[in-house]
Amino acid sequence: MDNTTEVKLDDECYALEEQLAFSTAEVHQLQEKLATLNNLLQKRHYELEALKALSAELVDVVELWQAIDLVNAYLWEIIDYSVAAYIIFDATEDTFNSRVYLKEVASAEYLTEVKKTLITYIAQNAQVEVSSIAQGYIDENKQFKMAQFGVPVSSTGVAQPNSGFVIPLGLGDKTLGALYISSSKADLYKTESEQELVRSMASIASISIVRLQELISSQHSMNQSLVESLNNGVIMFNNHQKIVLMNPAAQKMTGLMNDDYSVTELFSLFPDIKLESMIRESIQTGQIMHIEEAPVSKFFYEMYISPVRDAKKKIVGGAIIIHDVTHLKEVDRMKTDFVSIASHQLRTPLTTISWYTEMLQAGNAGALNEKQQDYLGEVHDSGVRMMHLVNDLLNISRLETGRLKIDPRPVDLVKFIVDVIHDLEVWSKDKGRVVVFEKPQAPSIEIAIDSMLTDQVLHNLITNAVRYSTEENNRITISLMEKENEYWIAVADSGIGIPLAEQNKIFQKFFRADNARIKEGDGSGIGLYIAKMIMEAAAGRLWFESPTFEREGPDGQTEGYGTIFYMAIPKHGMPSHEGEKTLSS
Amino acid sequence: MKKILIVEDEDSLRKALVERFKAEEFEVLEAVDGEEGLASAEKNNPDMIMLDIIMPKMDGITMLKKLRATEFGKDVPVMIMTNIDDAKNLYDGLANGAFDFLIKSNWGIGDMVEKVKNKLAS
Repeated sequence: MDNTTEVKLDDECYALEEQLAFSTAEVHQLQEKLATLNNLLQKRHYELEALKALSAELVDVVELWQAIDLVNAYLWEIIDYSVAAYIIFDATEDTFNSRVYLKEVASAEYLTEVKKTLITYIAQNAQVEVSSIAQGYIDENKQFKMAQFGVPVSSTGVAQPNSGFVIPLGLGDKTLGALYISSSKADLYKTESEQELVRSMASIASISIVRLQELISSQHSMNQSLVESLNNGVIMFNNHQKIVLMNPAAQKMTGLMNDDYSVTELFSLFPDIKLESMIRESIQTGQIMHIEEAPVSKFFYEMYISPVRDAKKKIVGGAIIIHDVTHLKEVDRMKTDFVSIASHQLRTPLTTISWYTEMLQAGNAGALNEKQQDYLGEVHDSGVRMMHLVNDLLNISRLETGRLKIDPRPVDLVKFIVDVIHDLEVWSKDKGRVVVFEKPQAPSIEIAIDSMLTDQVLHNLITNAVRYSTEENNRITISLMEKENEYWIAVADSGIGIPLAEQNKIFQKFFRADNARIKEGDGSGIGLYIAKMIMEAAAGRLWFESPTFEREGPDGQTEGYGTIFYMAIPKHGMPSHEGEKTLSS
Repeated sequence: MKKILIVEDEDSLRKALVERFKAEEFEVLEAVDGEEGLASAEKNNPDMIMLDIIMPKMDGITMLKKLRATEFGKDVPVMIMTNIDDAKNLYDGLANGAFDFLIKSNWGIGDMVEKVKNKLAS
């Protein structure tokens, strides 16, 4: 080998060695780079997993603070911090809520600093509607609630944050809140990569938060538009008795044109109703209160008062729903008025007939011959019948519309029965009947009953017994029995009885059994219907047994006869009922 | 001779009462509505008033209230006779000092006269 070649080889070797050394260095570098990238990748991988997991968990979150909690749980594990603080703007109340999670024991001053940082960030960075409210808080030195979690606050804790950064919570240009990560250590969070994970988590959380806020507000606005369009008046008020919502219908009904009124103004509209105490009771007990008819000038309103709860079921206010029932009441009134007016109109000519025939029969217009008397008698009797019919119709109307007034007073039931029998004594004797009262053992029995109504029923039963008894079987027996929690009055006769085939129709309006019709032509068929309705309205019962005896009939067959009617009155007395009408007799 | 004022808008009924009371030796005054009745009571000072409720211009309860507010009218016995019976009218009538409240169609004219005579005799 000659020198040139040796030198060349040497050079080449040297170059190769250099290259090799260079490559090795490069490889080292590459290896280092690879290692770093690997680490980064692992970290990334880990972070990605964390982000994925957070996302997944946030899907199920329905509550705002749940989302915050969740995010913080992740950050707690991953980031080195002393205090993590979150602030969220509540659009429904125009206030701020916040939470702080302490990883390190901090002092109260630290937290004050944190609060200041948060509200200042909002005031400087949020959209104008929210930032102005935040600025208001700063200017007025207003406090907002900050719930504390994690390790406690102590005067010996770390005094102030020495590093920290704030990230907005929100999407696009809508800032809903902020997150402030801080530490007592200095010089943390300086690099992008340190902040990056937190920013990513904040973004994911923001999506969730925005979704939740929108859900709440869409629900809210859905409700609102629903409420706006209702025909019923809706007034909602918060715990401070301030009206927060009044739909157009309510404005119209109350005449209060905007919702800047307090509830007390509302109270003055309904002087007869204890609206205030009802609202209080509803909010305290959580019960829905109902007012059937509240009069306001010429109108009538049905009202429901109900508490309103937030998502946590806490009562946050109340709502009054107003339903205009003026028309219904009007129709109802017209119906009853119709019957009242109709019966009034019917009674007037009947009175004329009654009075003039009476005067004629009394000879006030001159003496009458026998036939004239007779004919006049027919006219008079018919007039009386019609009058009874009008009264019965009026009573049926009252019973059926529930307008009957029931006014129970304490009464001696024994004496009561004696009196009713006495009232009918002359008439029944005249008909050739004997009415006997089998008195009970007790000399007197006190019970609260509506005397007029009970009299009507007993009167009807006795007159029926008298009418449908016969000359031979003319004895009517009345007895009073004590049964468990009722008193029974029984009216027993041995008269024509009620045929089995017609027994199920006896209490029907206008129904008269064939044999009754034969025995006594007059009879409206309403007496028992009214009697039964009265008993039932008064929490009692009315029923009968027939036949009660048997004998051999004219055709050799056995036939039944006799009837017993029973009235049951509850021992604790008849219930009182408001009603505007009493019975006509 | 006792003076009786009959306030009733229904002609046939008023006529019957007027004739009946005249036959009983009463001096009888008539009015067809509450307005006339009030004026007649003030002018004539009757010993007894029979008062219908449903009347045009001024109803019976209103007339009774106004009557009771006057010097001459605060003590005169008033019998309300009507064909409309609801608890409110009954209450209003008795609350304003009517001594009786009758449903016309339920009462014979003779019985009503008896009632009036008994009241005046007491």
